Amino acid sequence: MRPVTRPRIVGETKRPVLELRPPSATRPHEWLSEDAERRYNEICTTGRVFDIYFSSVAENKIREQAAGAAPMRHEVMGLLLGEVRIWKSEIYTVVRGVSTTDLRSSSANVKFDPEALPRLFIDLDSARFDYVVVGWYHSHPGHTCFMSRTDLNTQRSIFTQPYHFALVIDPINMEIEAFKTRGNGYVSVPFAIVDGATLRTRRLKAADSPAERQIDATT
Amino acid sequence: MVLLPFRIKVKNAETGATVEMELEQNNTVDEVIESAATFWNKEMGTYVVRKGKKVLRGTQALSDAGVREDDMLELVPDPEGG
Repeated sequence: MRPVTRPRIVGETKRPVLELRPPSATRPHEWLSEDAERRYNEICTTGRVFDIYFSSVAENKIREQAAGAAPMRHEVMGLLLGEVRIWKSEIYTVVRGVSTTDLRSSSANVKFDPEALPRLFIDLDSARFDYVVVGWYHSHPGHTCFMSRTDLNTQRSIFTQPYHFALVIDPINMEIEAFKTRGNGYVSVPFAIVDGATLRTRRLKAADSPAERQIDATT
Repeated sequence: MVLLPFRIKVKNAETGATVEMELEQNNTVDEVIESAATFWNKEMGTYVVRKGKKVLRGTQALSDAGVREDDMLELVPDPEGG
C-alpha cells in the first residue's frame, strides 16, 4: 500500500488591510480607571490613533453576558470579531462584533463547551462582515482586571499578532481593561468606544485614501 | 484504487489569511491542522477546525469527515481564561 503523503501548502492569500481614517466620534468606557481615562483624554487631545476602537453594540453584549453570570461568580468568554485597519502607517483594530457559545466555567476558569462549538460556528457565520478574530474577552467576576497565567498562556499561544488583544471585564467591581503581551509580561492598552454604525466599512472619499492596500499586518 | 490528490482552502480566523492545501482523502484532520499550524507558527492544540457549523475531529480521515475538493475549512481559536 502506498504511504499517505502529508498535506502540502501550495499558496497563501493574505487579507488586505483597509486604509481608513479612524472614527472621530468616540467616548471613553464608563468603567475606565482614572489612569485609563487620563490616557484616553491624552490620545484624544493629541489626535493620535487608538490601538482599539470598540463598537458600543459589541461592548454591550459583553457587559450583559458578564453581568448575567456575575451572581454565580462564573466567568464568561468569547471571541472578538473585527477588522485590522491602517491610517498614516498606524495599525489599529476595530471590534464590530462578538461570538460566543455555551461555556464550561467556574469562578476561576472558562472554556468553550466542546459540545457547543457548532453554536459558536453558527454565531460566527451570522456576522455580517468578513471578520478577523482580533482577540478574545473574558470576565473576572470580583477579581479585578489583569492577565492570569492561564490568560497569558492563551494570549501567547493563540493571539500573537501585533493587533491582537485581550479584553478583561469585572462586572462586580465595574472595571474593564484591554491588554496586549509585551516581553515576558503584558501592558494595558487604551481603547475607545464608538457607535456601532460608524465602524462599518464604507466607500472612501477621494480625499481619504487611495483605497485598500495590500499590507502584511502580520509583520 | 488510486486516490487522486485534491485541493482545499484553510482560513486562519485570526488573520483572515487563507492557504491552499493539496492533500489526499486518506489524510486526517489532524494532519491538516498540523500543516496549517506549522505554516502559521501556531500551537496545534489551541485550535479547532470547522467546515461550516461542523467541528472536524482530529483522527478522522478527510473522506470520513466529508471534506471534498474546493471546500473551505476554518481554523478557529479555542482559548482558555482563568
